[in-house]
Amino acid sequence: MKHSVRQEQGVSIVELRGDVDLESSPDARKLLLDCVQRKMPVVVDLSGVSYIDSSGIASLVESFQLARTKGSEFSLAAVSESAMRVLKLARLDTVFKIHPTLKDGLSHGG
Amino acid sequence: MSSLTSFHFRGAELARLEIPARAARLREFRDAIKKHLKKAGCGEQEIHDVVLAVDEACQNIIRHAYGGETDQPIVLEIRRDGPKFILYLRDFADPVEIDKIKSRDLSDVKPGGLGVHFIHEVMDQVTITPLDKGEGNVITLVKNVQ
Repeated sequence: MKHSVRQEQGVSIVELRGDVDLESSPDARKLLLDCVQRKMPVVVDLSGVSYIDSSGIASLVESFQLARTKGSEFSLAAVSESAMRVLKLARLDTVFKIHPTLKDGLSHGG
Repeated sequence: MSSLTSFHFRGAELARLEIPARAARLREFRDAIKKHLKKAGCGEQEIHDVVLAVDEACQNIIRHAYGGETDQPIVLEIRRDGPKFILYLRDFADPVEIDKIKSRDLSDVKPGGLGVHFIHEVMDQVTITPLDKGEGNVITLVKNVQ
């Protein structure tokens, strides 16, 4: 399943789907970093993520850190149960800004 | 794998799986493990966690033990010993230096280095056994189920 990017309300929405693993996380990383480089707020929709591993989490952390150095917004939204389990294992559920829904993320401008 | 004379395997074998050490083959490995654990009566959270641990261990085998993708095999035996699921994951790389395999400090937020932490966090027991030269390494992952 392909990951995708779209713009809505001045926010880049990165939708990650399926398994974000050692094979697919390089594509996810590239999408995320490209979006952050544009200096628009970024919301990552994780509702369609059925599995994420440490390489996928590393892509999110790297993008989050790049956004911070650029002073732009970076947040997660609609995190699937499987992805939330892994974020909690990494103690990152309190580091990322996490919106319960994508709509909520957009209304907060990322 | 059970033919190894220098290693003691516990429990009754539920499944034996083998893939080449390639990222593109990990998804089918995960799906097969899920299927066997579900058949053996594991709950959804236990299945997710065991699959995550095996997947992270496989990534470490690919990246560090083999030094990159290769057609060399990764072999998994899933065994059950009473309330314990025991997973033996074997590679055929040079013996690993156990002292170099460590979790990192999570308060330092940075990309990477989480795999070993995940494995230890979700499994009840983790052991790495370097075998005799040429025989590879065995990672033993134990999960106690309710």
